[in-house]
Amino acid sequence: MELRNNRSRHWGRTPTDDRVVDRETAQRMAEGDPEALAAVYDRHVRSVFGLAMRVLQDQGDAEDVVEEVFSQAWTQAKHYDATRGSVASWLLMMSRSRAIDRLRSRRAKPDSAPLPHDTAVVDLPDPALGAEQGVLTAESEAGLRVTLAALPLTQRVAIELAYFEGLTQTQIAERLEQPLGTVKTRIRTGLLKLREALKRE
Amino acid sequence: MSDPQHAPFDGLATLYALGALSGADRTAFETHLELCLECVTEVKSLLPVTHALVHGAPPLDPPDALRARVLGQVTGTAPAPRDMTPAPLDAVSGALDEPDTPTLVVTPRRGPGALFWLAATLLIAAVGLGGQHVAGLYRQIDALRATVATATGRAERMDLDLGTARTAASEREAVLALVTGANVQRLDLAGQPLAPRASARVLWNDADEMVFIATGLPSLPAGDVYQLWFVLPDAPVSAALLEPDEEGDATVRLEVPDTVTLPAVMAMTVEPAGGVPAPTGDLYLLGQPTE
Repeated sequence: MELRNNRSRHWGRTPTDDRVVDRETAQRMAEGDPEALAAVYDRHVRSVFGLAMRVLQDQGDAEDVVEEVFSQAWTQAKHYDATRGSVASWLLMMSRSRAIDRLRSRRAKPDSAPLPHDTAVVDLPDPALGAEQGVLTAESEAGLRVTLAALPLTQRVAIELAYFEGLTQTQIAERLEQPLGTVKTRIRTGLLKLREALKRE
Repeated sequence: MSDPQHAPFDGLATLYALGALSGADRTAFETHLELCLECVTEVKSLLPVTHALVHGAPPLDPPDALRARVLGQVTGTAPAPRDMTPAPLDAVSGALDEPDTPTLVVTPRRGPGALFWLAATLLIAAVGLGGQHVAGLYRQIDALRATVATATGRAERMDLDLGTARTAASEREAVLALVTGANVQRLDLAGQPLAPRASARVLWNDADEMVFIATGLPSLPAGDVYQLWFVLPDAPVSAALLEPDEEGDATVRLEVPDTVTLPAVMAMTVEPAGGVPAPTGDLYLLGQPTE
């Protein structure tokens, strides 16, 4: 289904169409329509599962995360806010949170950083930031993938260790056997480049 | 940066946005965030980036049975909130032991990102291989993962020219399986005076699967090739011929001959194209077991 979705992006329907469909489907899900959940599953499960595998590197765990994500999506569909991001982003943020929780519980490191997306500070609406700015279009998602690939590998690895493996700056420095200052600089430089790339989209 | 109180926190917003601050650092930064508009603005400005990053993992096909399990979970019962506590570890290892766990199929997304994802499979440790890492090797393996990613990311560009990206992906998975597998041993090779910036690492496991990863190799004139050797007490045995990419990186899987007992001294020389039965040329890399 995801493939069909991708194909439609290239030959016919626009990403905007897809997003409208997604939004309507989320709405039906919020109204308790099980077929809407099936539609959302078919459309996004490959991305959700891929992300869970990326973080957990374990199929059984990743499947459990998929189950948790779609259950959570079902129960929280009425809270889905299309102005904050696409359905895909919404599901993927849940997938990452659940997967990293699981990874950390596996590592049993009490000092791990909570995800900032869970904090009130970041979730506060910012009037200075237009709602649409927080919304990624499919084009900019694709653009970011390309840009991430274009980052120097040292920056990309540091960012990925933080974001996909939930490591703190200190843990990243230990893993990569690099000074803490170097790791900080790489993460910062890489993230700022990505931000600039997104602005250009 | 006009606020002197901001100075100690300068640059931390990016780490915070990515979730890379922990413990006291994070608490201190959040306290500072309540007072510092500059940092709040920076954290918020990074939200689209962190949101976009979740799209950065390659999509994968889950097992077909998962669909029924997930949808049944919801539609079969009242849609009550689920208990989100992580599964106990023995349940996880139980899943690993399942003999007929479906094999994952890595299907890169179409479009301009697809080629990147082939390279990125390296950063995704060992899809379907299970999590049997040796705890003491974690750090080493992660450093290696980066090294392998560099080398094979570049190899990918060559593979593109050859139209064998698919083969290369499975090759990389095999390399990664070795690198992230259990009981990995290693031998480092140091650059010799003719190649002071070169270095290499050889990794092997109990099954005598071996991979050689080199970086910083000088480019060679046409007609010359790098040749890697197991240096045995009797005579050197050729291990492989290598042609590094334009950046001086090379990754190759090695067959370990029956006559070789690991760890062995290893060396790399420059020889005429096609290689030679015994080393004749200059020494570029040398590695000796420490014990």
